[in-house]
Amino acid sequence: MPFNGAYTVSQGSDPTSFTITDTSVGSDPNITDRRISLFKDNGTKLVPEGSTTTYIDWPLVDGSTKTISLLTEDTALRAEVQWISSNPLPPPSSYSSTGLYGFLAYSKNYDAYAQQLMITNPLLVNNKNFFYSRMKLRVYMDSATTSVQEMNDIVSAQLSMNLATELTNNFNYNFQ
Amino acid sequence: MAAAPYSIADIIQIAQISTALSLQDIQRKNVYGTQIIEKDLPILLNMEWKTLQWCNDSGYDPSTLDARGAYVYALCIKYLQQALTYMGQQGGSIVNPSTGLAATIQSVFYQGTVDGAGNITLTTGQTEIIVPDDYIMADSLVMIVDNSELPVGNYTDRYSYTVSYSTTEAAITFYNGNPNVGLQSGQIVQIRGFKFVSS
Repeated sequence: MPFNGAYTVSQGSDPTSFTITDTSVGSDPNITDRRISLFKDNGTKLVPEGSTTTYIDWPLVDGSTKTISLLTEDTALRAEVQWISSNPLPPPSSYSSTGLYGFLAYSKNYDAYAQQLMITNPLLVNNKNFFYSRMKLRVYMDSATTSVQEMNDIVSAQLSMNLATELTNNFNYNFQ
Repeated sequence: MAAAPYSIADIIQIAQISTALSLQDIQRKNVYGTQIIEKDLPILLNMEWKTLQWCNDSGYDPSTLDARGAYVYALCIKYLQQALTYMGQQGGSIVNPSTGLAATIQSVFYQGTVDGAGNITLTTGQTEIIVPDDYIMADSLVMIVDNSELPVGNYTDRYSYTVSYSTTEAAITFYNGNPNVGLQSGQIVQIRGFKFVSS
């Protein structure tokens, strides 16, 4: 039976981290390690501070999930996971899988906070500055998601995320 | 803020449909207000259900989730019934008002000859007829005697009837003159109506 390396990525409400889950099918008893490479929109690799490698090691003993905590702002990343085998099976087995992901939990936390403010103070709906800022934030977040999921365009995704970050970095001003 | 009477998943769906319905309202120029809450309701709803969905999916501060749901639900109130109809696949969702549970409607039909045959036993002088079905729809029962539908009430100059409904049966009181002599031998009696049946 061939081996096909595969994984999924998810992010919860913690904006600093995301989780990778190994969903590979098939088996190869010679697999010794897994490596995760994260590429930003400018092509540079993202690794935890102090890392001595350009990838994130994901040893088999760590199990099928790995939580990676290195995000300091909303970020679009192209993730490549490699399964290292000392004696790889021939095609159609595959030992590498790549995908584009948008991590938006910083903006979404701000958006959830803004919703909480509206619940507490319903009259905020008539505050045009507040309402318009929430509209912009929603458009930036949706645009980033579309750039990732529909366009597979990391540059477009990061551009939308940067606009959202700029908006939320001045939250007290933009949402007053 | 009290919790809304629907699940978060249902509220999200209600808000999605309400977004479209509120947009229709604006397109049809049914909205003349100048407040954002009126003219920009589609935008607000679109933002709020997405935020609610993320909070629900991501586990963001669960202690706030009920209040968020109630807030989004309140924004949808104007379109709630329409949205629920769409969620019932546009056929209208039927709820048994006695149980609050989803139901279908089935017919109730009895016919018999006084002192004769039928799927209901009727005898001369009888003034009360029990219809032994659960959850008969209020005001749905009709009594027909010898092919004439009778008026509802207590009339002394003509046949008439009243009905008392409960969750387990309906009790029909038949009036025939004063004093009430009840059903007479040979009359053909039909009772038609509807009942709720759990789906």
